[in-house]
Amino acid sequence: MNDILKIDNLKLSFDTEEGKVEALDEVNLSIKEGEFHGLIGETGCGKSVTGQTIIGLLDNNAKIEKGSIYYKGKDILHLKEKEFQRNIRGNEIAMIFQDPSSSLNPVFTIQNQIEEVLKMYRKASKKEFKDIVIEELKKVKLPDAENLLSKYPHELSGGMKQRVMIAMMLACSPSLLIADEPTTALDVSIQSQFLKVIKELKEKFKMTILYITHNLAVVSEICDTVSVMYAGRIVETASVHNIFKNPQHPYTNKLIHSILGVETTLEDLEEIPGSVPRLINPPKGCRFHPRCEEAVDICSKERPYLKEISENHIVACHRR
Amino acid sequence: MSQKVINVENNTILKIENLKKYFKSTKGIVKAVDGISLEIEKGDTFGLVGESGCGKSTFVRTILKLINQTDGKIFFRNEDISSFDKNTSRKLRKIMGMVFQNPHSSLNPRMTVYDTISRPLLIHKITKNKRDTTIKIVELLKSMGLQAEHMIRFPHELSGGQKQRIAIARALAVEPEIVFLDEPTSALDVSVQTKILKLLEQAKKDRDLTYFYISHDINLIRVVSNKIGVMYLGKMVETGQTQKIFEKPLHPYTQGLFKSVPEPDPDKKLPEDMLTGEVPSPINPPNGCNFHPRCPYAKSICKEKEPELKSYEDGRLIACHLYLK
Amino acid sequence: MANSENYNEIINDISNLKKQKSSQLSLVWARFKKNRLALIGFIIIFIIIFIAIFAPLISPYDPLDTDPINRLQAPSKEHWLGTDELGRDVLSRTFYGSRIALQIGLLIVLFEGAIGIFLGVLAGFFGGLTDWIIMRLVDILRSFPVIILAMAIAGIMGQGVYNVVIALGIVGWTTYARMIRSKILTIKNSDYIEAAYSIGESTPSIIWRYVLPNAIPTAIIMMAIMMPTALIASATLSFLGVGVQPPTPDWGSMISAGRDYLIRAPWISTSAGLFIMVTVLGFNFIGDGLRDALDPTTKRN
Repeated sequence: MNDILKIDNLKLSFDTEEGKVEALDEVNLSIKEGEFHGLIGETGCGKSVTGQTIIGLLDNNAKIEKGSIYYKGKDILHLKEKEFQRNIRGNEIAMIFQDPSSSLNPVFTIQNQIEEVLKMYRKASKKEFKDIVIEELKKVKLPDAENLLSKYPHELSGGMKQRVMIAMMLACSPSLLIADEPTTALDVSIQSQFLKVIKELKEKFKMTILYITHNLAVVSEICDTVSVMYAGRIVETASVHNIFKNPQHPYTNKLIHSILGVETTLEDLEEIPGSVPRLINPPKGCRFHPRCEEAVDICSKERPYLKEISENHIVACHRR
Repeated sequence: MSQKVINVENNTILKIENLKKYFKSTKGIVKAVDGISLEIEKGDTFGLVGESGCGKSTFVRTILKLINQTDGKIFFRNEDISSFDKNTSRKLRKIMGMVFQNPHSSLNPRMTVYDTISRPLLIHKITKNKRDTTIKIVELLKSMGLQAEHMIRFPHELSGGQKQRIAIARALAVEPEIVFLDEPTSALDVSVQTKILKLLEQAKKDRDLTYFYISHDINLIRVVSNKIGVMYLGKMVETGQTQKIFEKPLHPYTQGLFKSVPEPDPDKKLPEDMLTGEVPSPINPPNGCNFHPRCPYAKSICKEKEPELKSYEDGRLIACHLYLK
Repeated sequence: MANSENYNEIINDISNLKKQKSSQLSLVWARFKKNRLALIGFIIIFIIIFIAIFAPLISPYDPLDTDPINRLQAPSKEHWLGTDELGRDVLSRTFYGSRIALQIGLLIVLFEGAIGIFLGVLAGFFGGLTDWIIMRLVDILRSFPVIILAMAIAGIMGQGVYNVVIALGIVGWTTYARMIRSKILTIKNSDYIEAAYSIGESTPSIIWRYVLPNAIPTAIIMMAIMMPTALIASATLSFLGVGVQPPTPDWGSMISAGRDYLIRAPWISTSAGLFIMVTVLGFNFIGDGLRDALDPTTKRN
């Protein structure tokens, strides 16, 4: 299977008044066609920035220092905005965000909004559009799709809005979907319904998804492959099974053991001493070394690069 | 033991009887808390679980008398505090403390850590002079794993985890008997969460406290509490000992809720029969049992009659017609 | 474990740390400095203030000295900005005019600010009827043109500089009230206010320790931003003949007096006008700079 997306040595920084924030430091990530790839990490690790870079929605003060992003073999990082918008964003790569309220236009009905999106990519009569919209809403299991057409976003609950987002996105049939914390604002019972819909996207529509989140339980539920990010770098990539059962990077290991599962007790839970470093003046060498129990001399001097330690399992650590 | 018992166990620190809090809105009356009764014993860690809109935040604020109840009674150690007015309620602040959800907004940005923690000490006259105040603050900071030098910092100079520890220190400063914790770790990273939970556990042991946690994170509640209560649309649907409820949840909502929590294990996937539908609006709750439209076991009586919270077995209280004789 | 012995040690450490730490003020100044426009504004106003303070020393002539023979002279080596209709040196008059402008401007801002902030805090914090009454008062006052109202009041009170200040103060506080009320509403809904209640703070203590300190940056920014309005209002009033009376040098009255000579001797009105413009610009830049420096969380692209 081919790589539908390949991030190659991406280095990106932000110019802020406090200094240069080294947000992404030579990030390497590959996603195969049809894969559900989870990108996990804590606040400030750069996972959201990665998603925003792929879809070209960065702040003005972002500077791409080096590297590339290849989509279906073509470099999309250096495309002009106009071309990206016409050819890539929406119909090839689409994104859904954490807060659907801010992505849906409050003054247009659901029908209007989905139609607007459709009109960009197809021609059809008014009646045909209406049928397509109902079709898309049914795909995301929204009950009573016909009644929803004339409703406004504020009349829908958070879970429903999130599904309308997916419907809107599906309407353009993208090949790659980027989801940035889509369930963080949802209740657990709504989240589970949402996850069901997402799982179907893979089975029925063969979509590739990059799922960005800090919620490890969700990742274990729907992803095949997982990449772990820490302080602007990918530290480990492996199958979801290996990440949870056989984590190799010390950070991944600690992270897995600090999640609350059904069997955990307070004594079992692991702490990670210290705190996430600021990216304005990050630690030299391995960025995790100040908090790592296994750190040795080389860890503070030389950056460890990702290397394959077993099939489809890569880790960036001097000790492995 | 039904909740109508008058004689209260000696160990009971907080007793709530049929508490109601209704809000008026332009669309109608919002029954945020609709008749909740509860008993908490000294030394308990009680965990209140529920999804957004169930009323748990309102419930806690009403107990703390930050808002006035519409009806019902609250007893703290056998003393009826229900009709305390604003001034008398201030005495309660020494007994009941609260830790808020968002550490980034629950600290006054214009006050240093010293100022923030000294305020409760001064208000309740726990320390009499600057020297004693400083000593006490250093003690509190150290018990939270922080240094004395953090005293001069402003909130914006601290990380989320540090801010939450200051918020906890502030709540503990008055030496309360019971501490309410509203989603204390939901705004924090997972690696920080562990530290905070362990600190709270230690503080509870050291100071002989009673805890009241609110969370939508079911696993968190399971880990920290010995007793839990499940709330749905303003009503308590099930309470009991944590372990027993997790082994055998009885109320259909509790069962559905627990089934919807993804387990961080790729070999354990969510079951097919999960909770469907959405939480209805608290302005127009369904007739009879609030939960009946989403309940897979609903009978005709469920649509007409509201089930009372009654005791079942093993200290379990449940509000469901399936279990009422 | 802290106790009496190492208490002194702790206090020492803290004092040392405090000295090392840059105060909040210097951080604000550092942010302010980085903004070029704000710095230019600061320099402009610094110069204007300098001129105002040292006007007697730096003015080449007495601003009241008439010299009818040399009236309406174009700018020259003797008179850098020319002379006016009574032969007085325009440069000296504009220098002295800055004194009046800044004094009156400051008085207006402080007076309007005091009333506006006080009422804004009441309306925002207490809500309900108090809020309703104050806001209706705001609505009523805002539906009248400020200048005309001020003229009417000044007309009743009589001529004089301080009457101008009072007149403008009575009608001009509405902007302050609205802005502060808005900020107070935001503060009131913050978690830290609820947290303050939960530790037992009384309402007066909450207003004093929690609400006001967080509203001060807004108040300061507002004053800087409203200074231009005050300057222009006072210049307008003297232009219209209310307030500052001849022969006192004042930018507004200079523009007025120079109207009749716009073709023949444009430098009379123009000099005063330019000074007003530059001063207003300076305060605007400072206001923007202050807003960015005091509240860097509001990102603007």
